[in-house]
Order: sequence, then structure tokens, then C-alpha cells
Amino acid sequence: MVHDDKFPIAAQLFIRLKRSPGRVIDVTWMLENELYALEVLKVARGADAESAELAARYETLLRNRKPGATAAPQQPTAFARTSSFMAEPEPVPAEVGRHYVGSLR
Amino acid sequence: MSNSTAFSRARFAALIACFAATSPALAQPSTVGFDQISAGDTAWMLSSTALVLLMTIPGLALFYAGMVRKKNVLGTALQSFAITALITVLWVVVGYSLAFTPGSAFIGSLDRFLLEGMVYLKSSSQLSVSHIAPTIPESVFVMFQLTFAIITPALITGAFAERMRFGSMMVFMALWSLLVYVPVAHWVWEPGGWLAAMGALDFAGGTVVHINAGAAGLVCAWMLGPRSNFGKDAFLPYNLALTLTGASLLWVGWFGFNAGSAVAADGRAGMAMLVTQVAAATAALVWMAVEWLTRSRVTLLGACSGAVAGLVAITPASGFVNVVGALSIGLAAGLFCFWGATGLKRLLRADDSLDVFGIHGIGGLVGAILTGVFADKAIGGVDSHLGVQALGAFATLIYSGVVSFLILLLIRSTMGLRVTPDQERGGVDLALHSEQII
Repeated sequence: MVHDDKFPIAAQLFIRLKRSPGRVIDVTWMLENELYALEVLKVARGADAESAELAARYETLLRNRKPGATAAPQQPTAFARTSSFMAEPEPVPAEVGRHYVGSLR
Repeated sequence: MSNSTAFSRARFAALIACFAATSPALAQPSTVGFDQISAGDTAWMLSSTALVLLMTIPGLALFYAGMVRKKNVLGTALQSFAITALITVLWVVVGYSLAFTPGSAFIGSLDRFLLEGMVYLKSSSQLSVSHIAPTIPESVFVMFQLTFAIITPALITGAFAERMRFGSMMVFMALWSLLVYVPVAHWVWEPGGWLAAMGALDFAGGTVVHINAGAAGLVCAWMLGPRSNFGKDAFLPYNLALTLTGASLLWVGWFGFNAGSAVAADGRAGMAMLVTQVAAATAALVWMAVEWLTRSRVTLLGACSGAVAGLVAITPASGFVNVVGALSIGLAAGLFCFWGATGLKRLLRADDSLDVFGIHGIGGLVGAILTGVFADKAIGGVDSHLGVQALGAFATLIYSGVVSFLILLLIRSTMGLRVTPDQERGGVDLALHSEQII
């Protein structure tokens, strides 16, 4: 699911930001959506020195991304994505789906 | 007919005597020399204790976590873990004393409050033993019984999975353990308990653990109501490989549960282990066969469910039946529990999320009743009586259901039981615990 070296930094940010100031971030979405990542980095810079350092490293990786690579402007904010995720049921193969409606076994 | 009448009178007299005596002259926990302790029994009971604890953490935690949706996996696993810690403290403070010391027919005494009087005196080479397990240190017996007290409420969590508030769940489990589990354990396993005095047979907890948890689970499912969109959306299990791992841990751990209940490293423990394996295997095969016949396919969850059903049903019988009994109980468990988790579930119209009543309640009832049919005097050394078995099973079912209902009513009117609709939609992992699986 995760393909680049931004992941370990994002995971560390997840842990540090959760501890202080108690913010929970979506690591996967951070890797996929640059706008969301920049918002997270803004929070990290205001948290503590180590989080700010991690934010700087992540930003360097963002700047050094391959030419031609772009952010995901078609998905404007993480909030919008999260809302739609919560509203829509997960895609289920019809065969499997029938099996789990109203009963587990 | 005359035999039956004589039996009824004897049972009635025993019951009356039991009720009349608030402190019957029974054996008490006592202090003995080190030389009275069996090293073999102690070693086996230490091992059994570890096996039974393994059934809850991580066995049951994984078993349940694999069956809920991805957004509720961590919260579901956490419930078993948190209950382990909660019940441990309650047990050493007051639970053990009320369950396993002589008192009245309904509840024990506070003689072992904070385990006061449970001693190990190296200088005088003496230690205390329970009157129920005289060849092992009392500390080992306390621990062994603690693991049963832990897994019973942990089983209930499957019935209200994905929708109960964590704090309310902890309060419910604390009250349920003290008001339901402890008295029922005393009724059945302490020689002065009213069901024990009547001769009810429950070798390892078919009644005390499984019927008890099943009834409470069903009441929980009713009281909390169904999960939102239950019956409309498909609730995909997160990862049935976790469920298989959990079921396998349960199967192996069950040897500690059943063979450990012999409280000795002896031939009866060996028989209990053998029949446990046979019943689990038989029920797994039967469940798979029923799936094949009714749905033209065999599922992993079905195989796991069948094995657990067989393990549940053989639990009360494990120290009393032979291999033919185990095969028969496994067969019945596979059939009845399949029905319990499918047809009966639809009839009851309760969202018992992970089929706690269908498997543990029904499996426990099947096992308790069939113990009365298949108990072999040559193995257990006692006669069984179908009527007494049924009385014990249904008395527990009703008591557990009624008291669970009252506890839930109290919590609902004070703390509330359910998470908010938004929290449920987003999943309890993130909403209640600020954690999630990525």
C-alpha cells in the first residue's frame, strides 16, 4: 500500500502528533494527497522541535519528487475525502456481500 | 416410578438442607505442609492456567477481532485485554472469596477478602490449599479459577461488538462478574452451592461459563439494539485469518480449560483431553457438512465455529464421558449451534453480532443436557440426572438473563450504553480510542 520513503516519516509524525498535541492524522492519505500533507506539516511545525524536524525532512522529500509528479487537486481536502468515505459503504463483491447481510455465519 | 419419586425426595431434601444452612459444616481452605502438595498436579495446573489465559489473550481477542469490520478491530480486541486486567483485580480483592469459600448455598464468604489467609510460609514449610483442590497450592487454584472468571465476561463482548461505549462496558463487566459469574460459580463448583449439592455436573464450565455468557450476551444484544444498517448493509469481517488464529488458540487452550479442570495430572485429565479433541473435531466436520448440504460450500468461519461449538458442548461433560459420548456431543453441537447461529438468530431478531448465544448459549445447553445422558460412572464416579442437569442449565440461563438486564438498565439510565451514531459510523477504533488500522 505504501511505496516511498515518506512513509516512515509520516508514521513517526502520526505517533508524535498523537502524543502531543493529541492530533490523529491519516498516514495513508498524507502520502496520497499533498494538500493534506502540507496541512499536517503545518501542525507538526507548531508541535515540538522533533516534529518540526520530521516536517522539514518530509517537505524535502516532497520538493525532490520526480518532475511531472503532481499533487491530487481533484480531491480538494482531506475532510471532504473523509466525509465521502464515511458516507459511502465499502464496495463489496455481490457474492460476498449477500452472505454478510444480517448474518455472519 | 418409585425410584423416580425417591430420587425427587432425596434431591428436594438436599435442596432444603442446603437452603437452611447458612454456614454448612463443609471443608474449608486450610494450611498444610509442603509434603502434601503434588508436584505433578501443580506443574499441570500451572500449565493449564497459562493455557486458559492464552484463550482470552490473544485467542478470543483475535477470534472476535477478525470478525468485525476494519473500523472496529482494535476496539474489539481491546475489550478482551481490558477485561483481563479488570477481572484480575476484582478476583483477588473479593471475587475468589465469594465464589470458592464455604458460605451459604448461594454465595461464599469474605474469608479470603484480599486473599487474606492464603499463605505460603517458607520458614515452616507450610502453605494454604483450597478444599476443592487439596493437592496444589491455593495460589495456583486462585490463578486457575481467575482465568475462567476472565474469559466468561470476555465472551459476552461478541454480542454487542461495534457499538458499546468502552466505559459502560467496563462497568457492566465489573458488576456482571460480581453479581452473576461469582454466584453461579459458587452454586455449581463450591461443594456447598445449591446446584453442587443437588448433584449438577459441570466439569469445566458449560453452565458457569458458556450458558452464563450466552444468556448475558443475548440480553446485551437486545438492550443495545442492532447496529445501524444491520440487515441492510453487508458487514464484512476484517480478516478471517485472525479468526482462524484465534480459534486455533482457543482449541489448544481448551485442553487447559477441560483437562485442567481435573485439578490433577491423572488419567481423568487424560480422558478429558481426549474427549475434548474428539468433540471439537466432530463438531467442526458436522458444521462443514451442514454448510455443504445447505449452501454447497464450506467456509473457514464455519469450520472455526463448528470447532468452538464442539469445545463448548464438551466442556461440562469432559470429565464424565467416554469417546462415544464425545462423538455424540460433537455431532449434536455441530447441528444445534449451526441452527443457533443461523435459524434461531433470525427467530430471536437480535443483533448478537458474533453469535455468542448461538454458539456459547446453545452449545452450553446441549452440553449440559447431554452430560446427563452420556455421563459414564466408570469415569466420573458419579451418577448423572437429566432433570438436575436441565434445572442447573435453565436456572443459570434465567438468572444470568435477568440480572444482566437489570445491570444494563442501570447503566443505560446513568452512563448510557451505545456510542453515538456518528461514532458508530466512523468506527469505535478512531472514535473511542484514537487509533486505527491503516
